[in-house]
Amino acid sequence: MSHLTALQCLMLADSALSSAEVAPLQLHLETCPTCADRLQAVTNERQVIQAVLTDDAGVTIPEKLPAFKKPVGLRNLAMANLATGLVLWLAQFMWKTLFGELIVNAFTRLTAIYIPDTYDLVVSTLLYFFNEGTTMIDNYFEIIAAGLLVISLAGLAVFLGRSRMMFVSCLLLAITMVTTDEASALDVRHDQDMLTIAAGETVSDSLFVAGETVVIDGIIEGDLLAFAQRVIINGEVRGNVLTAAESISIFGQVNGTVASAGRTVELGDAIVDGDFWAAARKITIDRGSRVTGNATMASESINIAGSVGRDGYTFAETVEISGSIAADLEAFARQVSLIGEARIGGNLRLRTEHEREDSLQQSPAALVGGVIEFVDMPEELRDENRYTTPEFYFGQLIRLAGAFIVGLALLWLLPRLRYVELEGGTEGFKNAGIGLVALVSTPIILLLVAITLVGLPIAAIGLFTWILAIYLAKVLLASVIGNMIIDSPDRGPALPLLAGLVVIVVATNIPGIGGILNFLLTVIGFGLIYQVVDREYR
Amino acid sequence: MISHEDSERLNQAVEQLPDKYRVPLVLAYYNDASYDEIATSLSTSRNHVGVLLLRARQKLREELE
Repeated sequence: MSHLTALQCLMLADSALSSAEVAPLQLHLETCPTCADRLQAVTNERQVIQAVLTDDAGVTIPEKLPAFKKPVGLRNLAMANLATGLVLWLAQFMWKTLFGELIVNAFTRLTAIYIPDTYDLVVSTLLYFFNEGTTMIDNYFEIIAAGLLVISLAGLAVFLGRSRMMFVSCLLLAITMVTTDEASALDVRHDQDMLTIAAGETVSDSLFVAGETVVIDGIIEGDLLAFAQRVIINGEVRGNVLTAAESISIFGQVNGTVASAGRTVELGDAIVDGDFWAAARKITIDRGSRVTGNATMASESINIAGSVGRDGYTFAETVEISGSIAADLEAFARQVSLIGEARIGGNLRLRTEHEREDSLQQSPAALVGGVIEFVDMPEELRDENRYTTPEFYFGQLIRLAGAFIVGLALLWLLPRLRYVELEGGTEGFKNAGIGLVALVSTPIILLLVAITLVGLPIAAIGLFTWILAIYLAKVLLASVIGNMIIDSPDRGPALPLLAGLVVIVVATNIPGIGGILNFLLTVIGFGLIYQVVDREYR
Repeated sequence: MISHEDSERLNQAVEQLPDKYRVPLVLAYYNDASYDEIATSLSTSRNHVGVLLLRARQKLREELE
């Protein structure tokens, strides 16, 4: 048998086990000096505690014994869920209080499940921040940036073993850097109604614009970031264009990449020298328009009458091409139509779940330079009930087995984790709150780290750790749940872990609420990790 | 492990333990109650008493470190 657990050691030293439970442990002890030593140490410790308690007349027990009821089944889990739900609700309530009608309005819009409306939301949110909250947000980010800078510099100073003077100098420099109001390289403009960059006007920096309608007739020498209901670019943008709007129309020239999302995206007689990325209900590249780089589009309906200089990637219901694509076209679509004198210089790879002969319509004059290849739609993109496929259950089994192995390794490496329990009451609330904050704030902090201070490598490591923590949080929670279900002193960690994992895998796959449960369980798991780390730290 | 040298600090640490851990500890090592008796008194299971004692000892060790 394997080594004695800490609980077995204790109960054996305290003579709390039955003879049937003791027998196999004694057999093991005869052959294992390590466990014998541990048992001796625990027994000695007991004698020390007994001596101290006996000598001291002031040992007290409350007259009324506190309730010590062991959690009945999953009661604590339910309580933790309730606590987490309340924390989420409180966070939402605070947010609503802070931002009032804006957020109420936002939730109303989000629940309408009408995706293009989210652009209204983006616009109104941005307008709100410009009108009301810019200073607050600025200060907030300055504080975060200062904090991160100070932490980084402190770490660096300690790491390099520099003198205190050096450290203080770094600190002052950090504060000066953050609080100095440097001239911004970003021109910010906003208007409730219509915002126009006139034909003769040149903006020498990058431009951030928000409004009901944004019209660019002039020249932007940097990047253009535009958020509005309607964005029209007639002039020239020498950098990149990043835009989200109900309707986006580009008739001018963009020297960089265009990334746009909206209900409709139209390139009408436009020149895009970089790549073209678009997600919308309808995407049109009109005749006379030219994309020099790759074009990647996701939409219900895509119409390409202009030209694409390199590869085309389309994710759509229907794709109509009457223009040209110089290299390959990779199409995830129900139907692709090559109309008139359509030209595809390279291969056409069509991924579809429908009959192949119905999926591609090609006019006699249309030309595909390479080969036409039909590929089955990847499994995850097929429109079918996942619960009816054996692959789903096989996948879940693999997931379960993987988590089980990871969990066993974790409990083997850190045996204390076997005795972690979900806290109730105030501690439960605190842990749920901290779990939520850790889960949500980590990616935001990583983003700031990525763009402000230490750079991408640290952010990438942090992201990896965060994803790992999400995974381990649920594995740890599974062990805790398993211990609630299976209660036996001579148990190893395997059976409870397996039981807990089964509960979690089933719960997170319940149709409809599986996603919410998954989130709640992750938050609780993060809270548990905090609880463990906090206890170890203390 | 806890040693005799720490007896005074140990005594203080026991008094500072939350009731949740202190009561089973005192019942077990001062009143010499069995796990089953403690479990009955506290309306819990024998194994949970073990876990509480295990935690109580961990906390005492941490306090004495």
